[in-house]
Amino acid sequence: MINNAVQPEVIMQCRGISKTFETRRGPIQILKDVSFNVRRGQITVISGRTGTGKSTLLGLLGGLDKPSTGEIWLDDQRIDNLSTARWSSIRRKKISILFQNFNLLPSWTAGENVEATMLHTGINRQQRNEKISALLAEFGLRERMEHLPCELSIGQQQMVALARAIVNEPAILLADEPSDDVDPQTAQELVNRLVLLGRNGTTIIVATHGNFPLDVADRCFLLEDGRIKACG
Amino acid sequence: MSDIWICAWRELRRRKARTAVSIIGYATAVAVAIVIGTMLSRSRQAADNILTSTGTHFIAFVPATYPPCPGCSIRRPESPDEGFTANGVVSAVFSTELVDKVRAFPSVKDASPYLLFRFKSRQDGHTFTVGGFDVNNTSAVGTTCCAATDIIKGRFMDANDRGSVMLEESYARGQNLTAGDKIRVANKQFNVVGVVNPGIRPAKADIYMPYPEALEVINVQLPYQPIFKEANVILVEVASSKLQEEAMRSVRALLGGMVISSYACYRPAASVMGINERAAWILTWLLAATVVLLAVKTEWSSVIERRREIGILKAMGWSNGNVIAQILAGSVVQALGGGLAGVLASIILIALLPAQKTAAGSSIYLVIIVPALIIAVLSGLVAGIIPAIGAARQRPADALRSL
Repeated sequence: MINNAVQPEVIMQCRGISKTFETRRGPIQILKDVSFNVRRGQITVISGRTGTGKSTLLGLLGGLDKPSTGEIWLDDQRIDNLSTARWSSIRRKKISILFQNFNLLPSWTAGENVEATMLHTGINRQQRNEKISALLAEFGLRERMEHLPCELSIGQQQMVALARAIVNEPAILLADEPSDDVDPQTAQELVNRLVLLGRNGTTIIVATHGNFPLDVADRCFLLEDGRIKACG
Repeated sequence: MSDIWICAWRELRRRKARTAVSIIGYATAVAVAIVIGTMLSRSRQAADNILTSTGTHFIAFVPATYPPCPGCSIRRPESPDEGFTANGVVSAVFSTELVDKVRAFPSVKDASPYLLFRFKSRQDGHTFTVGGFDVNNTSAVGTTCCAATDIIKGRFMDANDRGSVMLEESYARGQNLTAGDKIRVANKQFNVVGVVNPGIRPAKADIYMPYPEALEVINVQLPYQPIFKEANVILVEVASSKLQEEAMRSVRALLGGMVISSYACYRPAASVMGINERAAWILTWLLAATVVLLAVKTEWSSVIERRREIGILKAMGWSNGNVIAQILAGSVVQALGGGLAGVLASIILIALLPAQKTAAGSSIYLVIIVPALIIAVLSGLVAGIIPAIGAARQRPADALRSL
């Protein structure tokens, strides 16, 4: 599973990350002193039971939230304390997120959902349409471009979400439970695509509670009681 | 930039019902504002036409006091029953140059010198007033003294008349005189060319004659202190009913002790107009404010509904500026669409109103339409900015956790 023969450079680092949520019943600490490295071009899997903070950790890595303590580094630059505007730029160009429940925009068509990450980037409409069309054709969804998410199957929705996540060719893809809600066939297709992306140089970080095959991962971590450790 | 408008248009199309409600709101406010503004404009012009003949004139005189005011003089004939009079009191005389000064005030349209003198008849001892006026003046004289439209018998005097007078109707009846008869004033005989009924004008007299002839007969009664280029009353026509107060103030300040006599009805007439107009504009602004508040509420509801969606977009890399711009663009498009629909509706409504043709004609529309559209667009910006900033500030993680 872990390829010790090749040691790519570290692209992302977490140093002592903690996250506490304030609730009506008092504070709840989800992550406790989480530290690990992610290497460029590798598939890194973070596994753990439901509620251990996997999605929270991915959210911190994607800048959707800020850690309560600790640091996050990307390409030798600390990013956990960046401004909202800088984070917007990073999410447009470097880091992309594949959500657990797809998070497709319900009133946008499949094509428009994929286009969402390309808007306000300076790419003209024609170029966008060509890229979206080609990508959805590759996923076998060319004919469903004008369909709303509610008119697609769960598997198709997941593929549209994946297309949206990779259309800008991000350096890092954060995938939260990517094969959780889909049928085994679609799940396998998804895994295959992620492996292909990894081979093409995209760094992939996957959060899973067990449905994602660990044998395709270059590195594996276990998140338990808010703490992280390497898989045995 | 075009991406903002593309996304805004898509959102409006997707939420047709909400978009329609917002546009209808804006359209209603703009249409009402334009219709009210147009009606007020027409009403104001119509009222001005009426007010022009209601209380836009007055007379000025100086009651005789001892010592007389600077610039005045008291001329008393031998008979105590005779003398210069105005409003039932003995009045002083002053130079007609004063009338030129009055005519020069910006609030005054016209002014004319007037002699009003009470005579006592040598035949039967009755007293009567003689009004000496400028026959060539039809403005100030016509509204305060007498006009050609007041003639009920005979004709009105003209500049060529010599040795002629007009009689006021009640005096003529009392003296059993009519047009064509002769009458003696002082030691001179006059032909009666017409009988007038000037109503309740402030410079009413029993006998009207041209100023030079009045001067002549009055000086018969003042052998030791004749008057020359003098008058005891100034007839004033004001430029506009709204300038009445200003004109009266200016004339009053010319001579100490100057008294003004006018119709008091100009005051309630002008104030009623002002009250109606003010109320209409207050209602219009209230309506506009209500529409903006409703639009804010609608946009805010829309943003709350789209909280998760906005969080997804921010997770995709949309900046706060992109979010704000899209929400504002949607709000402005609704406001502009509603504004244009309101303009169309107002044109139809105004065409259906009872025809009140005005000199301004179609220019009324342009004066009100452009500001109404600008205010609609600004309202859209105001309605959208608060929800937009609120949406942009939320953290993507919080938005994505929202149900």
